Parts: sequence; structure tokens; C-alpha cells
Amino acid sequence: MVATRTGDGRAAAVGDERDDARESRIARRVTIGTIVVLLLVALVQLELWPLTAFRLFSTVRTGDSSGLQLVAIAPDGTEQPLRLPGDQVFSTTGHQYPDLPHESAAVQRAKVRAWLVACGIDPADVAKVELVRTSRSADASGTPQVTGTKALLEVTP
Amino acid sequence: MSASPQVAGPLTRPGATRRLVDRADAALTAPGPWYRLLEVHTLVALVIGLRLAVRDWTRIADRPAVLTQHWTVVGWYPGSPPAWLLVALQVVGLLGVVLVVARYRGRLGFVVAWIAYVTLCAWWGSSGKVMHNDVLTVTGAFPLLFARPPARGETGSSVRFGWPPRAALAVMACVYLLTGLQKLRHSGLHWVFSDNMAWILRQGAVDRAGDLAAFVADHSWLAQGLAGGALALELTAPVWLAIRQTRWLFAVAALIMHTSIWWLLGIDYSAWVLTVAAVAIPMSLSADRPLLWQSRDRELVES
Repeated sequence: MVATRTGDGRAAAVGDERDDARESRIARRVTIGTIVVLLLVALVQLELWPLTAFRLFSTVRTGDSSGLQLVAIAPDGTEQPLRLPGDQVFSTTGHQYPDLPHESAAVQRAKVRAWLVACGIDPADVAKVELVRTSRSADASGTPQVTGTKALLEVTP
Repeated sequence: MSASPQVAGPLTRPGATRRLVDRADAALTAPGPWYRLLEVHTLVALVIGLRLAVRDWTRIADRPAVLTQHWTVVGWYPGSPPAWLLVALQVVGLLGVVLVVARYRGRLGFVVAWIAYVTLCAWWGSSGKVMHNDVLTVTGAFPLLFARPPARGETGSSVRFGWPPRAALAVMACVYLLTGLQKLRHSGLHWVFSDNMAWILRQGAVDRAGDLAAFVADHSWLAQGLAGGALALELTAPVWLAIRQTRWLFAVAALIMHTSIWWLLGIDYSAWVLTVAAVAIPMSLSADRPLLWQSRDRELVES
């Protein structure tokens, strides 16, 4: 019995050692692999969520800023800036504005129509939509002044 | 004789590196108590569960397909997913969390919850802006996918229980370090020693914090102090998280930093705070001290 128990004990100890060695290998592969991937993604500035370069507020802000805005223009010339719905899913589609001039005419039209509908505007009531860049400069008190506007693109919805 | 120190310098340098690597390896693969893995595994799963539960994921279905961007892991999916699929994923993910908490097929439950969470977050963020709100939770939880948490009645200390929480700590430290390094890479120390933070506050402050943001922005020493503190915290995260006694302090510092960002700018990094707490606080306790399991289980531990 003693011999058997000793044998069992040794077998269990060998099993534990094997298990520890296996877990150590997994630990190294997972930890080092994950960190290497994170570093490489940050280095090459890849953005393929959840892989990200972790650029959180990484550029310096100044008093000068510029932003893009879609403006719907009615047949009578009335202008109406598009205000996207406030929820995160929709409001962040505005980050696609910079890419709009580089899209095909069909995609530009489809996107503009989707934004108009989301803002509660019937595309049939709109003659054209302009993508406008507005530049602002703020004084020391932080009050922004518009320093220039430029229409970058015109889309007929 | 006089040459020996000159020779010893270059010769000992690789040895020192080797020793450092060996120490890091030994720290990663040292045995750990069963309850520590169970605590971190369960708490991170609960963070995932909370994020899954509180958001109306069906908003994704309302986004027109043409406005859906595909630079995510679910970019292969054409168009917008239907609402029923989003709700099904939410429910499946929450069931996964229940399995983890119930300690019934906890490993499978964690994987299911993580995949559901990643998928929904990827779709949520497919609007054109890189969203970082959930990325620390997703990344920090990744090593735990490979963990084998203790089954009911299984106790003791082993490599299997020890490494996953430490790997999660290492990955979190890496994430915070990268956020700091990217600021240095793209802006240098100008990020701190300029009007950068003042303009961030002036341009981005939410209405509730307008007066406070203006006050901070108008006092450059205060704005630069905030920026310096945030950058220092990010860059030193690996040190804070490597030392057991300072891990809980890092959790507190992260809470203060992310809460102030939320209060002033309205950006919700609560998932970062919760994830840091879920991993760093249990890992700040000494190995013989369970966080969640008391009395009867502790007797088991000590036996």
C-alpha cells in the first residue's frame, strides 16, 4: 500500500509538473503575444477595432480649429445645417464627412440622403447639400470667431 | 586588474537583461491561489455583463447600411445587423456571464460573453469614429479567455491559477502606457507644457461643467498640472501595476482621472475604471487573502 501510494504520489507530482509546464507555456504565449500585437498595432497606427493605436487626445489643441458640416439648401435658397441625432451610434457618423469628397457620386448621394432622413428632412424638399468647412479662431477668453467657410462639395440628393 | 571593471560592464549588461527577463517570467508563471483567478475572472465577466446589459444595442440596427463603416473585426458583415440578432447576442452574452458567476462551465461562459461583447461593441463603433470606451475591457479580458478557472471544490495554488490575472494586469499596463506614448509621439511634452489642456476644456466642456472647465482653462498651471498628471499616470502604469502594494492606488488614480474626464468633457470611460478595479484590486491583496470568499472557504484555503 505504501509503495502504491508512493507511486501514485510520484505520478501525481509528475502530472502537476507537466500541467505547470504547459500552463507556463500558455502564459508566455498569451501574454507576450498580446503585448507584441498591441505594440505593433500602435506602431503602424492600425485601426481595426478592437485593435487600435490608442490615440486618445494625442494631438495638441490650439485656439484655431476647423470642422465639417453638411448644409441642406432648399430650392428657395434657404440653408439648414444638418444636426445629427445625439446618440453615439448616429452622431459619430459625422466622422465620415472628411471621406465624402473621395466617394463615388452614387455613394455620396446615398449617404447624404441617409443623413437627411436621419435629421428629419425629406430629400425631396432639398435642392442640394453642401459640405462646408468652417474655420474658427478663439481669443484668450475662449470665445470662438468664424474666420472662414468654404464649400468643399455639392451633392444633389 | 584595472581593465576588469571595463570588461565586466559590457559583459554583465546582457546578464542583467537576462535576469530581468527571468524575473518577469518567474513573476508571470509563479503559482497563484485558486480564489484569485476566480475573483478576477468573475469580476471582469461582471463588467462585461454590465456593459452588455445597460446599452440599447438595437440602435445599431437603425443606422443605415450606407453609413456603416467596416474597419472593425465584424467588417466582413454586409450592411447593418437586424435588431433581433443584436438582442440575441446581448442575451447570449449575458447568459455567458451567468455561467461564469454560477461557476458552471465558467470558461465557456466567459468566451461566449466576450465574443458577444466584442461583436456588439464593434458594430456599435462602426460609424466612422474610433471608439475607445470599451477597448480596455475587451483587451484586458483577452488573456482570461485562456484561463481555466477552478471548478467547484477545486482549491490550491498552481501556475494555472496564477498567470491569467497577472497577464491581464500586464496587458492593461501596456494599454495605459501606449496611450501615454502616443501623446509623446504625436505632440511631445508640448502636450503638457502648452495651452493644450486649456483648449481641450474650452472646446469640449459639457454644459454642467462649463464654469469649472473655464476656471481650470484660465489657470494655466492648473491645466498643465492636469495634463501632466494624466500623462504621468499613463506612462507609469506598468510600475504601479507591477508592484502589488500600489495596484489599488492605480485603480483610485484611474477612477479620479476618468471621472474628471467624464465630468468635464462628458466622455464615458467607466468601463476602463471598472476593468482596472476588477483586476487591480484583487491583485493588490496578498496571496493568502481572498477578496470575496470568507470564513468557510478561507478555512479550505488555509488547510
